[in-house]
Amino acid sequence: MTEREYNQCVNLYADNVYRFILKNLRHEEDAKDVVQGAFEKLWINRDTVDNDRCKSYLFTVAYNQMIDHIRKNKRVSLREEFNEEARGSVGPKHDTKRILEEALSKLGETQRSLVMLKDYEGYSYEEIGRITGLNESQVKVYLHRARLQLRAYIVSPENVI
Amino acid sequence: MNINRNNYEEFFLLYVDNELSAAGRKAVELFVQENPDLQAELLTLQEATLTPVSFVFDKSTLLKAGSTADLQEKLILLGDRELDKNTIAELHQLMNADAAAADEWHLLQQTRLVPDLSVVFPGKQSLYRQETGRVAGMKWWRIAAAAVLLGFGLWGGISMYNNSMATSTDPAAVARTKGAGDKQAGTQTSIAQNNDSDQVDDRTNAGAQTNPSLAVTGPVTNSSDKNGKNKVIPAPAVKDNNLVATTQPVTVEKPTNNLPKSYLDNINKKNSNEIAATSVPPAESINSGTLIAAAKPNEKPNLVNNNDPVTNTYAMHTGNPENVTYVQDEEKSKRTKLGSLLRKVKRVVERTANIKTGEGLQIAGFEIAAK
Repeated sequence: MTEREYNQCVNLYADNVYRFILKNLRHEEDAKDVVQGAFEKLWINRDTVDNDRCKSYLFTVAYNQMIDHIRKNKRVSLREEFNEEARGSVGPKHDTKRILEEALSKLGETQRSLVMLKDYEGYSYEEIGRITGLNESQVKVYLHRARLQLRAYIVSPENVI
Repeated sequence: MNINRNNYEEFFLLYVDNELSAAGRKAVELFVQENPDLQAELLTLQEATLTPVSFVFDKSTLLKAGSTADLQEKLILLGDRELDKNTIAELHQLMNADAAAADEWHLLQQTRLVPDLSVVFPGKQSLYRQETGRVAGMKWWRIAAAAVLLGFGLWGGISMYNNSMATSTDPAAVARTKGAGDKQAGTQTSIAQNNDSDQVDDRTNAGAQTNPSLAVTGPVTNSSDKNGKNKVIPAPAVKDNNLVATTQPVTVEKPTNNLPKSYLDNINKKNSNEIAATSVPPAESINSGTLIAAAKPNEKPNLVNNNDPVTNTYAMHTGNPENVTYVQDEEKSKRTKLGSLLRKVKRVVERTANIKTGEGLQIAGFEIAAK
């Protein structure tokens, strides 16, 4: 990968990676750090990374760094608890997007990442498996369960749309 | 059937289990009516039996493979675009026919996330990179090789510069390089500088003019070798004559370099060539290479390592008046600053290491001590 291809990669995929990480971490500064770390690693290894696979490489690196970050800080789990408490005082909701965000926060880290990679970036099961280190069957099962959980949350009595 | 107070329990149990025939049941009922104290016992046995309960099992939980769960999985895969075309077409047909399937599909579609494109990375400029050029690591042996090459280059450059300076200050060499036309003038100059006598000039001019064969066939192009060592400048080939001259006529101006006065005097005299040729011993005046070069017509002169002070400083006319010897002052060309420095270093090394050369066996530039 040349310098020009790298900078082109920044223009094309920086927003996507940032969006993916920000939705998971829900912390802007941490998400910036993760994205910068991913691009720094891409720059260092630019000789070995094919330009056609730079997006997949970026998401893989960013995902791994994000998992490391979550394990270190445990910030996401704390925020999830806060959101859950805050949601209790509110009555029935009819905002689909907000309900879906809440339902997404109820998922585990892996399932949430899988759903995002599928819906935001349109990756196939095989590509998601390469990014997250899972096999295709695992991706399929995790995604299936995640969908059913989201569906169950949406159709629950307090969230009837 | 004979029922009495001794065997009624057996008939009561068969009655409760509905194992008696109609006549048997009639006989039991008649016996209870005749013995009312045993009626309570029959009722107790009848209450101890279980009555069947109406229970409806939810079969939907057992029908995963072929119904709702299977449909959900297929609809999820459809949403994830992981199905082949045939299955997709079947599912669309099913959703068109079955409202429940269409509702399920609609519900699953609501679980799809939509990317928020308003979220962008704020510091994208900080991610841009620019290559600053790659620096190759220098190993010690590369540095050493570079230093050696640099040293050789410097040494060669200085040597060439010194040689060029030495040759550029040699007017005779410059004059000879002009070609045949300049030959006569060069000869005149050298002879004129040899001696103040006009007689020599006249002789030389006369010899060159009267003898038309005294023509230069080619210019002299090389006046010294790379190391500045002496050699006789390839004098212009002269037909029928051996013309030898010094490359530095300036040095001939000083006839005091171990040259007997009488020899110089002979130059200015007519018909003195024979005297000079005979009076000067060949071994002292001219070395054999020079003589051979001069004696053979139509041949280029050979290199001469002439250390004889006589030939270094004197242009000698041989018996043939047209024979002029050109001899380069090799002492002067040898003595460059760098050369003297190297010689001093060599001497110091030889003294300190107690190296004695010339007595051993030399093989490929190395010398093995004989003792």
